[in-house]
This record gives sequence, C-alpha cells and structure tokens, in this order.
Amino acid sequence: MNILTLFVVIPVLTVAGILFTKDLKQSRLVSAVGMTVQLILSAILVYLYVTERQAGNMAPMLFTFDALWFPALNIHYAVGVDGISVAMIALTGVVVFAGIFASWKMEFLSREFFISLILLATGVFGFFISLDLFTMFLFYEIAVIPMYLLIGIWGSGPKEYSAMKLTLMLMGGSALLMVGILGIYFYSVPTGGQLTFNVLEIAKHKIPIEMQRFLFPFTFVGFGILGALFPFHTWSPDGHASAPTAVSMLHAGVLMKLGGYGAFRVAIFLMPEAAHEQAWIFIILTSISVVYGAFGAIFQKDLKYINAYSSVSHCGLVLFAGGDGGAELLLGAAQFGFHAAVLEVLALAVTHPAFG
Amino acid sequence: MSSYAYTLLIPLIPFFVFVFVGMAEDKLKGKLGGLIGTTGLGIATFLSYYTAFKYFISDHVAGTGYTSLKAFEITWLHLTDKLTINLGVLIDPISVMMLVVITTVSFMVHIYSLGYMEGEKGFARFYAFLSLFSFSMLGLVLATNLFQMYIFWELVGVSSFLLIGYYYEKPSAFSAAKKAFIVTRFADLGFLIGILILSFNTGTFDFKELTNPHGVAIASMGGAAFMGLSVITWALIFIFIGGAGKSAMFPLHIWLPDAMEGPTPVSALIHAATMVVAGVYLVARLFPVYSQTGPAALEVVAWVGAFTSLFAAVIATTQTDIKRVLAFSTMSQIGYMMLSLGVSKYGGEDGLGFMASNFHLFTHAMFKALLFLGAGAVIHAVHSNDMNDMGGLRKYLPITHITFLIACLTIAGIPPFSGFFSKDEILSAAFESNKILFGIEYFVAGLTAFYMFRLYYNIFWGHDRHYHHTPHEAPLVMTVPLMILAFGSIFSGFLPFHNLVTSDGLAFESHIDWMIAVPSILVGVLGIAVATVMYKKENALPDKVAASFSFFYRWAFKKFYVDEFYLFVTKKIIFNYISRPVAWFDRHIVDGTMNGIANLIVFVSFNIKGLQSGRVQQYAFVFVGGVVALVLIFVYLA
Repeated sequence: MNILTLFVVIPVLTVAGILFTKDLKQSRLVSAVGMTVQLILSAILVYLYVTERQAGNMAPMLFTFDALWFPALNIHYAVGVDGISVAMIALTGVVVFAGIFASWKMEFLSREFFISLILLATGVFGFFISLDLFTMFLFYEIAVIPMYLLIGIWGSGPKEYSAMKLTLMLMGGSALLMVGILGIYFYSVPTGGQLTFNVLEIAKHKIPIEMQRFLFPFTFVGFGILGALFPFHTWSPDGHASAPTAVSMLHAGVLMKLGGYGAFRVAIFLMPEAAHEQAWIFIILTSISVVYGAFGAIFQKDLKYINAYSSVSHCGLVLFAGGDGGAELLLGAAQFGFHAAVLEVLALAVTHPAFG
Repeated sequence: MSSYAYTLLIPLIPFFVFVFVGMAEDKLKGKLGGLIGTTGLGIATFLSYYTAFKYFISDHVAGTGYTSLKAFEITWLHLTDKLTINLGVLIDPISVMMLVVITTVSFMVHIYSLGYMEGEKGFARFYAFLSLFSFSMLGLVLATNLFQMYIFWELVGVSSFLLIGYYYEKPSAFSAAKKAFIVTRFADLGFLIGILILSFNTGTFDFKELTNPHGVAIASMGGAAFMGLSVITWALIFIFIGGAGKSAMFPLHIWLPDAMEGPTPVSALIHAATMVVAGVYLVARLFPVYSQTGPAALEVVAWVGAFTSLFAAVIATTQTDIKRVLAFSTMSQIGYMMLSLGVSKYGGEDGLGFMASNFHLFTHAMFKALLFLGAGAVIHAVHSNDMNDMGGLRKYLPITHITFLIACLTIAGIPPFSGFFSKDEILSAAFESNKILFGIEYFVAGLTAFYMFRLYYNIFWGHDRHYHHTPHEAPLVMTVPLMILAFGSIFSGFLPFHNLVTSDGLAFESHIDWMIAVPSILVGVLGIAVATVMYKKENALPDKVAASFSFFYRWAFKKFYVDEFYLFVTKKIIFNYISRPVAWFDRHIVDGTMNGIANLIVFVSFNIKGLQSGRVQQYAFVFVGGVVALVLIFVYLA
C-alpha cells in the first residue's frame, strides 16, 4: 500500500478500534497506540522524503498514487507530497499525538471524544496528502464536522454558541470554496477535453485570466476564513476559548494551517496571475490581521483568548506571506503550528488543575 | 577539526547537567543536585583555564598575533549554497577571555549557592536553571556566526527570566521576571532587524568573514544610504539596540534594578558579571565592522555608554536597597565599557579603547561578583536588603567586611587594585578621543567612589540596628568564593591585556599615563573622603544635603521617572487607547456584524415560518387567492 494512504487508514482503524473499547482507560490506550504509530509513520515519511530528494528525485510530488473513484465527474483519489506537505504532516503527527495525552483524563463520554478527535485528525491528514481538489475538499469537511461536536459537547463556557458560530462561519467558507473549486474544475482544461480536479494537471494548463480574477477571491477567502482572515476571524477566539484543550491545540496548531496550506496549494498555485494582481487587497487584509490580532491579544484577560488572538495575528502573518509570494508561507505555518500547540499546552497547565 | 575540538565540551557539560538535574529534580535529595551542578561546572572551568593557557601561552608563537580559529563547526540549516546557518565554536582572544570570566564567576556562584540557597524550596531546580544559563552564555560567546549568537542570546534571556522569577510565588519577583523578559525581548527585535539587514547586504552570518578587515564583507559594505547614514550603519545601530537591551543601557535599562528580585547569587552571575556584558561582547565581536564601516554607529555606542554611566551613577547615590545600588553601579560600569569601545579605533595603539573595554569587563566581573556575593552574605546575616536595617556589621562579619572593602577600593580605582588599571586605560582612551566624554567619566569616577563608600559605611559602620538575632558570618562554603574573588580583584589588574586581547590580535605597548592616573586617583580619594565625612558616623549631614537638592534628589531617587514614563506609554496609551478600542471594535463591530447577519436570518425565518402552518384549508385558501391574483394580472396585462 502507498505510504500516504496509511496516513488515512491508520486513524480510521484507530477509530474502529475505539468503537470496541469500554471505558476511558481502554479508549485512550487505543488512541495513544494509534497516534504513536502515526507519529512514527510521519517520521518515516520525513526520512523517506529527504532520502528520495537527496537521491536526486526532482518530481514535483513524491509517493504519488492515483485511483478513479467517481468516473462521471472524473474524481480521483490522488495523493502525493512535496516538502511543504511533509512538513505539515509531521507537524500534525506531533500535535495530534500530544493532544491525546492532553486529554488523558477526559472522563465524560471518553470513547466518543477520542473518536471525534481522531476523525478530525483523519480529515487533516487526508487534506494534506490529497492532490485532487474534490477529495481535498471532502477531507476538509471531514475535519470541520467533528470540531462542532468536540466544542459543543466537551467545551466550556458558551460552548453551544461557539460551536455553532464556528461551524456556520466555516461552512460559509466552504460555500465560497465550493464555488471556487467547481469554477476551477469547469475551466481546468480550457483547450477542451476531459475536465479534471487534479492539482498538478490543472497547473499544467492555464486557467483563463478572466476566470482567475473571479475565482481567486472565492478560493482565497474560502480558505482564508479557516486561517482567520480579517474580518472573518471572530469564530476563532470564541472557538478557542470554549474548546477543550486538545481541540484548541489541534485547532490552532493544525486546523488553522489548513487555511494557509489550502490558500497556497489551491488559490496561489493554480491562479498565480490573479494572485499577483489581487495581492494588494489580501496584503492589506492580512496586515490588518497581524497588527489587529496582536493589539486584540494585549487587552484580553482570559488566557485562551490571548492565545486565540495571537493565533489570529500569526495566521495573518502566514497568509501575508502567501499574499506576497508563497515559499516562506508554509515554513512559517509549520513553525507557528508548533508554537501555538505549545502555548495551548501551557494554557492547559495553568487552567487544568489535574495537570499541574 | 582542530586540536581545540574538546572546547565543545565546555558548553555541553552544563547542558547535560541541566537536562539531568532538571529531569531528576524531585529525586535529588538534599544538596545532591547542587553538587552535581557544581562538579559539572568545575570541569568546564578547568577546561576553560586549560584553553586559555593553551591559546595564549603554549600554542602561541612569540612575535605573532592571535588569530581566530574555528574549533568545530557543522552546517545546521542549508538555505542556499551561499547562505547557510552553522553551529560551531569560535576561539579567539575575546571568546577565550569570556570563557575564563564566565566559568570563574559561575563556578564561584555555584559553590556559594550551596550555602546561600540551602533549604530553599526547589534547590535542584535552581541548579538546573543555573546550568542552563551557563550553557547558554558559553554558547553565546563561542558562537561562530550571528545567527547562532542570536539563538543563544534568546536562551540567555529565557534562563535569566527563569532565575529572576525563581521565587515565583512572590508577585514582585514574578513581575520583575516578566519585565526583564519583555524589555530585553523588545530590544532583541532591533538585534534581529540588524542581523537581517547586515546579512542581506553581506551575504554571510559568519563572524570570521564579517570581521576580516580585508575580506569581502567589509569591502562590499557602504552602498545604499538612508537618512544620511549607510545601510550598514543602520544595521549596526539596530544590532546595538539588542546589545543595549541586554546590557541595560539607557533607555532600555529599566529591567535591571527590578531583576534584583532574583536570588543574590543569580544577580552576581547574570546581572553583574556575565549576561549584562553580552552587549559589550556583541559590539566587541563585531568591532572591525563597527570601526571600518560605521563610525557613526560607534559614536552612538560611545554617547549611550557615557550617558548611562552618568545617569546610573547619580541614581546609585540615592538608593537604599543595597542590591539596587549595586545594580545601578553595574549599569554605570557597563556604560564605561561601551564608551571605551565607542571611542576606540581599529588596530595597534589606536585600539586602546577596545583593549581597555575588555580589560574592564574582566576586572569588573571579578569585583562586581564579589560585591554581590558580599551583599548576599550581608543579606543572609540580617535578612533585609535595606541599608537602613544595617549598621556596625564589621564586628560580626569580618571576612565579608574585608573582602567587601577590597571590592569597594577596586571599583573606586585605588591602586594597586585591578579597577585602577582598567579604568585608567579607559580614561586614557577617552582622553585621546573626546574631551567631553573624558570629563563625564572623570566625574563618574568620583561619584562611583562616593556611592560605593556610602554603601560600605552604611552596612559595616555606624550603630547596630535591632537584629532578629545576632548577625553571624556566613559558612565557609560562602566565604571561600569571596576570598577567591577578592584575590582576583586585587591581582587581575596585572594581567598583560595589551599583549593578549587587542582589536587586531597584535600586541602593543601600553603604560600608565600618570598625567591621567594621578587626577583619577585623587578624584576617587575625594569621593571616598566625602562619603567618610557623611556616612562613617550617623549624622545629620546626608539629610541636609538631600534637602538642599530636594527636587533633584527626589527625581534621582525615583530613577528619573523612566519607569513611570514606560508605564504611561504602555498602560495608558497602548493599552487604553489602542488595545481597548481594538478589542471593543472586534467584539461589537466585527463580531456584531457577524451576529447581526445571523440574527437577521433568524428574524426573517421567524416571521415567515407562520406560513408553514400545516393547515390544509389555509394552503388551499392561499392557493386559490394566488391563482385569482395571477389570472387578474394576466388579464389586465393582456
């Protein structure tokens, strides 16, 4: 089996395993084992990737695998990674692994909690390995739905409000994204022929510039909402503050990175001309996010709100780099993801008496 | 790989001690953690002395200069083929000198703390942090490139934060730690910007390439200008901002007095002898670049140094917390070092200021660590920091008294103690460069003697106060480091620094200029004499003097309200006038719009949901009505 597929299979198997557990002890054990395997797998992937690159393999994507699963629309299960996705996968591996231990004492509905958490991770891993826009979108939705449950059920404070707000706003983003992705699909091969969702294929052909101008804002803002782009960031502080710590970790450390990654992989990569033309708008918006988030953070009194606003600020930085060109973007994302997750754990150490 | 490869162990041993003691903290009973830390640092100290001996004496070919060499280097991050980030160990005169300074003081502090920190909660944690600090500081001075230095620079900041906040249950200690971290971190932003500008223009981070006076880096500088100064000059000024933050130069000094909330041995190690001179070391490390391409930046260094030395000395004369007096004195002395670098030129005898600065750094480390540890012994005896709670202690603490007196005489610049020699070199360097700066430093020399003896008399002379118990001399484990450092304070002035640590590595002739030395001794003696009259026996004179300068005295006592100014800017302006509106705007306008949209949808659906009543009669009625309406419309329109 392709190594990348394992990244989806292992979480799914873990979820299946948790279904058979009886109490907290068993379910957290199964989750820990599953995510440890996942972490080791991430390390192996990094190693394999580096060796492959050093051996001189300069293909744009490595470890590719392709299978058609919905012929009517030419939707594939296509996977592959480059350096950026490998970095993001390694990051996710670490954060999810740590997240399991951060929820070590989740007494309430523990089985369901771990199932949701790992389902969320499945979506994130799937997102990072996908090369097919539709499959990517599917995984994205898989990641968002458990978020609603995790905050709404295991959260604190005004959790129903926060969960609903987060879900509605992210679904709003998905709607924009859906338009963007379908638009890209219909203009993927302007010369005529079989339409495709495959990112690499689309990049080979050029989407007509008139359509780019129209589609770029849809995709960039769609992913931008997930990356807390001003003024669509308000779901993030509430969501952070209400979410249980492990979820905040995933949220700040990984989920918000989906936004940056998607903006780069889809919006900027496929529509470079429009990205260049409209960069100024997004540079202004993201600069606002950076400064505004930081000032917002200064005023907060709740530790988790401080974290959340600082996430807004830092994600703004990530998207800012995206508006500016791209390569630095994901390096920044990887760094920040780690940073945010560490902060979340610190917040936990302070807020959670059982931990300290 | 050279024969110096073993120097890698010097920073690594404290690191391993940190990891081990930090992990096993709870299991190390009694003093075990401290003993492990002290042993580790003892080995590092031995290796440092061996390195100094090897580098300066046994490996040195007579008549040649000292070159810098890389004992060890690996590529850490490969960015492009030209630009890599390396980690390594750089051996040259200043780094070897710093090795000796850091390990000596750190080792003394390790031993001293075995007594001073005895029975404190978290004894092993203290030693773990102390080792972390030693590791970071050693890594900083051994850095082969700017980026590595920056990494360790931040690590030093973190360990300083941890140690200032050692008594984290005490709110004042905690906020002092925060303050130190935030202020230095703010300054480090300048450092980072400077590094980026400098490396962007020269294409390298490497010190050897950057500072080679005939190398490409210096030759390729100059170029574009901004606001009348070249870009490189701006980069150097930004880098100096970072240095000024760590070295507590005005106006970034506000964290240092508060940092005295940390345990006294920490103040001796970090906030007197090692970390606070990192800024001096940074400028010295890049000195060829400063002197060859950015004379304007050097001028900034000189004036900031001179102003700080005066400013801090004035404040020191008014403070009553003995550790704060020492903290301001440290600022003042570091100002001397900065000034000395600022007036120096590159090469030969023109590099007198460079040599003097490093010389003073060395002697200052000895006597200031001694002063702090002595103050620690006093605090240990009377359980107070305030000099109003002290008096007549010379009878009870004979060893502390003698060593403290030696340190006071040293800092006052009385021969033959070491401070005299290094201060004399600085004054000579200033004299040759700028008479105004020279005048300021002369005045500061007098002030220094005055406030140190004010401190000395207040602690050791005068009447006994009401002590909780009879003050007693500290245990041997604390007094032995005092004696060793006193020995260093007396004799380190005879080290031939002009042969060893010079700007271009070549020896030059240096002798005491009596035209400058004699007046400086007289100024020192005058300062001591005034202090003796005012403070040896309690009398009304100090209060009268204070009253006659009442306005100025109050200003100085309040540290010229610099803290209040910062608080005003951060709390009042940034917090109230920027952050509060931003937070309000976010909650009410941005989020309000989002909630408003949601509420609008709820409102609309609430009002139209009555239409879906489920009553068939109503549906039929609306259906018929609709048909009729449509028919009428079509009839009329047709």
